[in-house]
Amino acid sequence: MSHAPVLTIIIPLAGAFLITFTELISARIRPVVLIPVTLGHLGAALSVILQVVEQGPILYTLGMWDPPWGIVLSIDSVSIVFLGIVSAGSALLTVFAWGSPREAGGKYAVLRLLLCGAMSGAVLTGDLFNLFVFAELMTIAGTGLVALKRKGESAVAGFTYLMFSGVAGTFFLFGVALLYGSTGTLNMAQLAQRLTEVDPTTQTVAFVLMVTAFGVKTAMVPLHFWQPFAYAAAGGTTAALLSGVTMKVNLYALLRICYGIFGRQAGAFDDVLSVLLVVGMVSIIVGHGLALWQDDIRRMLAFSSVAHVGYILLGVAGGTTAAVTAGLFHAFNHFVMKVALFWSGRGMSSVIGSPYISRMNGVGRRAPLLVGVFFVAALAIVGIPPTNGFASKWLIALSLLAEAEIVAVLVLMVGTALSMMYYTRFLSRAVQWAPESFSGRAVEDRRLRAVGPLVLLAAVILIVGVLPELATAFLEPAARALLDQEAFISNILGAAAVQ
Amino acid sequence: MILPATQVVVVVVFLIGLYGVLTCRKLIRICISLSVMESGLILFLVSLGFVEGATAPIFDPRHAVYVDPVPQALALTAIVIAAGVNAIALMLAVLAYRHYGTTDIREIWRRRA
Repeated sequence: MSHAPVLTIIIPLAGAFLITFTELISARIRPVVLIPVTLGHLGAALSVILQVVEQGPILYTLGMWDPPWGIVLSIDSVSIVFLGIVSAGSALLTVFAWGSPREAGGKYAVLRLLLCGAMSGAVLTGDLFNLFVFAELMTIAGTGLVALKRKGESAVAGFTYLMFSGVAGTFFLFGVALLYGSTGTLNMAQLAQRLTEVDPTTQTVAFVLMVTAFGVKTAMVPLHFWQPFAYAAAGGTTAALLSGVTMKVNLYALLRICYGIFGRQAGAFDDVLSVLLVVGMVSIIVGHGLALWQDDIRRMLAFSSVAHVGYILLGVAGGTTAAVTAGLFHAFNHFVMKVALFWSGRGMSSVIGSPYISRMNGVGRRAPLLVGVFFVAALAIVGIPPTNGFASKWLIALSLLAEAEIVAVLVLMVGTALSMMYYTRFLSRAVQWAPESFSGRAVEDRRLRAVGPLVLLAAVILIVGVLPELATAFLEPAARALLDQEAFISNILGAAAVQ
Repeated sequence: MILPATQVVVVVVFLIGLYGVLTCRKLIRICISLSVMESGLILFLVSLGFVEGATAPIFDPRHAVYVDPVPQALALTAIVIAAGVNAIALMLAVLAYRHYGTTDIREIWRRRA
């Protein structure tokens, strides 16, 4: 048995632990730990992904205790999509943060690695209580990243983030405890199997509690209040990780709960999916609508994230293979686009010395490369061909049309028009001729560590936009695995358990 | 087996905490409300494993009935996590107080604007 699955969790956690000690000695020896840890996590994640692609789902039994007695890591084609996002996002952030003045510090490295370990655990685990523990660890590491600037504002933002996620965590644990009380197990597959023993009311209460919990954590409207506040306080570099990666991991947990544990046999399943569809539509309108009024570029991008949770929900709540594929595709694309937007926006605000859009007249003269990347990513996020954002939005629209959800398609189009408005507003300011902006001497950071990740992301946006089959080849099996509850159960408990 | 009285207590304590989190304006009171919520939850976890007349789950030939040890392990983990979350929340409340001179969340919003 290959130990790569558990190493994806252990390596970043051990790295976080070690760096707290190397910081005590000297900040200069930090790369000695940070570089092997980052590469190690990438390598372990890659070997897990390759193994699943070649040989199918993996079951890793911790301490060789077979399920349902021991805790297991269960990795199928859905988990590897999100594991890829976690690993790529964390590695890119390590490179990008190295080039930024504040986030290069040791405390940021420790919190980033903690978050990375917790997220890897959350996407791999096959145990519901472990999911709770990893989700709480994500909350705590995320709070640290939000509050680390130590100004009053970031303390309040961190507090808000912690409280929302903390209350969501208790909701989730309440749901877990209800299910345990009726079934006597925490193993996801065994829970799914014994769900029929749970009385319908308990089932519905537990389902709603768990979905609400991850609804708060993914910032769906009307549970999104903490999010723009937290992203603005975290700063662009870190907000990219929180929006691009952490939000996707919470989304993964939501999908696993809906499709893996409850599934179609649950009484409230169809109702929950239709509520999620409506929440998705509301999120698109509210998120884009509020983004229109923001002057702080980080808040604008944060509200755009709220809207894009909506787009992803329109896909994944559809329930058909095509719809879920489209939703997962948009989740992946949103990771690439939003990280590129946050980081190029971060670069521009440090050139100008202010994150406010109203002061960014003519920033394109001083930071042509950053504005170029921002332009490509904005094209993608609005949904203009030939970018990946267009491909996934198109697939979502097609899947909605197949289900005759005309209202949802209209909402999608209105949302696109709204997002076009605020991205154009920013870009027209950025490229205009503004002599007064030439007084400062700051220019964009052209070192490889700052530019490399951005160029890579822009390239991914264009390549996946031209050849969407590259991504959908991975995502279609993922969607099928997500919808196939029996495959999920038989991966954890063995094929005999399904009969 | 869960006694009906326990169920009522659990739900009441949990809802009192939730009401507090949603309505309190002072940061410290919000922290207290969160820990009240968590207390309700931990009570629920412990009561899940309760078996009438059973002993601690340590193997001993004199006893035949043991309580379920898993919820106790869950309760312990939940307590540790709750303590960590509360410690960080209180630290942030102190930082906010030092910066704004108040822990009233509305007052803080007004000063930010």
